[in-house]
Amino acid sequence: MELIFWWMPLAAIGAAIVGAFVYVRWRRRTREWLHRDGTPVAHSERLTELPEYRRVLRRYRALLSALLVVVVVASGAGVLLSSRVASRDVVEPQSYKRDIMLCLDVSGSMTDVDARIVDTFATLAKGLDGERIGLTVFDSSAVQVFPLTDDYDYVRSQLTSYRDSFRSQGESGLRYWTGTDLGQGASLIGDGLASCVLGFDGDDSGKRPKSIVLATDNYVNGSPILTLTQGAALAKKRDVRVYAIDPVDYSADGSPDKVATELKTAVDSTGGGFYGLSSSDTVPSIVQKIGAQEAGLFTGAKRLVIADHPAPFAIAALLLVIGALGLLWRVRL
Amino acid sequence: MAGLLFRVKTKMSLFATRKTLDLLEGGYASVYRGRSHDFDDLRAYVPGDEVKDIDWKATARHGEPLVKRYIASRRHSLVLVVDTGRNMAATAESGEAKKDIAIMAAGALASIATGHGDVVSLVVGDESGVQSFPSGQKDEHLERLLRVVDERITLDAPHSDVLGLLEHVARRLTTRSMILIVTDDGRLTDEHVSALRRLRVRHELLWLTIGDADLMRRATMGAPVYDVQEVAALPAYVRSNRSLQVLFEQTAATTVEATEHELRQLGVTSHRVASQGEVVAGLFTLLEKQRRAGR
Repeated sequence: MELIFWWMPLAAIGAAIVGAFVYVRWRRRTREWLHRDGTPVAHSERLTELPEYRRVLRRYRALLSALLVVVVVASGAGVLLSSRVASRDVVEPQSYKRDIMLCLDVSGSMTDVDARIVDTFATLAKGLDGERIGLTVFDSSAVQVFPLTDDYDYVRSQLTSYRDSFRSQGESGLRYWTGTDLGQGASLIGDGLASCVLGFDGDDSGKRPKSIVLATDNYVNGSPILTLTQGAALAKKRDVRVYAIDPVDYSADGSPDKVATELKTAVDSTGGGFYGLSSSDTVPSIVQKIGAQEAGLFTGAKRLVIADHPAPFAIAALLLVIGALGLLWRVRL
Repeated sequence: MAGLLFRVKTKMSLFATRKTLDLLEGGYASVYRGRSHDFDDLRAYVPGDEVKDIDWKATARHGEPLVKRYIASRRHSLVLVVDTGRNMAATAESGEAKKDIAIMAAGALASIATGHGDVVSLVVGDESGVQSFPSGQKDEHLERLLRVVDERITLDAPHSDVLGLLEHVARRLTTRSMILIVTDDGRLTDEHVSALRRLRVRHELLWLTIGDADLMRRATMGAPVYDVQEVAALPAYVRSNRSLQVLFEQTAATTVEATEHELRQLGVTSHRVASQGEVVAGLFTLLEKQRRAGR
């Protein structure tokens, strides 16, 4: 909290002192004339001797002092108001509102991971603001379940129904694989990734960070139109980072196998990351890591934000002035 | 001579009918019983004249009542005792200045007295002291006396001191006189009473009270009100308090009654007037009361 016009209280105090000085001078000079305006009466002891008069006078004095307090506080509030009380904050604006495309390989081996990913994002959708989420599922062909949207209620309902579908292997609710088996083969990851990349907005979305959460085990069965590497190149060209979640089977020596390494190379080339889903890592923690990695990329320059806070003073001054007017009316000054 | 006396006389004829003025003349004449037996002339009877002054034979001849007038055996003397303290510069019950009512009353009675060949003197006083002016009969003299009253009563004048005034008169005034005391709604203390008692032995006392402003009712007029004694304002908030208004009116009425009662007990004729218009009638009432008191 600070004052933008820091000199205003000093000026007000100065004005008050000058005003008081002038008033005292004027009062002193007109002292003997002062009592001449008004009706002179005699024998006011007829009134002032009454006990009732003293009681009423006490009440009058109490009202006067209350009025004085109210006026002083109101002027104080007015001075603070005109001094522009402001807060000075240094903010690092999260200068982006992310677009996240969930890109899920729905081949039979992946449903468990998919269920967990959509569950995580269904939970996350509650706390999002301004970010957009889209969902594309693919196997041999890609289906955009819903495009990028910030209608989080819709997002959640869709994600929840897909989660249930994944968990029950399509037994209950919708059949998650609908439309994903129109191509030749299965798990055409390069095609799926390219479809997801194309699911982002056109040119004007350049300012919004774009990322894809790609869940796949990278076991391709068939001949895709685009290879994974080509898909990754397309993503890089469109400035989309791809984060891969892979339920990788680590071999005995602890290093990822060949297909996983290929996936890692591909996504790393887009500036994204590769997360192996081992027993120690859960999907939510991976999603958190992705969020942290994205946030690190797009922190804007530090900015000084000076914001006025006139509301409390304005309200207080208004109420006090109303109170003062009421009191003035009451004491008939 | 277009001065204060002229104004008083004008007001007398403005505020009172000819008849009332005649009544006042007759009332003044009949207050005095001591008079010579030297017949002067006859004049038409006016109500207020003593019935025993009627010359029945002349009346029978003339067809309407005539009263005998005698040459005054000696000059009577009227002493105007006027409180000229600051209190008298305040406002009267009617809203006029109390000073104007005082001058009106003093001037009216004085002009009637000089009309009867009596002499009029003046004693004025306030806290700073008492001043006496010798008796005289001419209009110029009366004018000078009224001017003294007019000049002394200001808002800057010293405070009123009716007691000092009364004691001074009781001490100094030895010739038997008719005294008109002009003051306001003060309270009579024991000192006042004893001074009045001493005065009453020798003189005829007429006590004219000029009613003070109703402090509460003037609240409706909105103008600020202050007391001349303390120069302290009486806040409008206080003056507009209803219960206080009622209480004040009761108290004020009680005080006026108490003063009247006290004066009656003392044998001092008193009357209270609130405006200039009431002065002539008030003086007549005062004289009537005095006559009835059988002195």
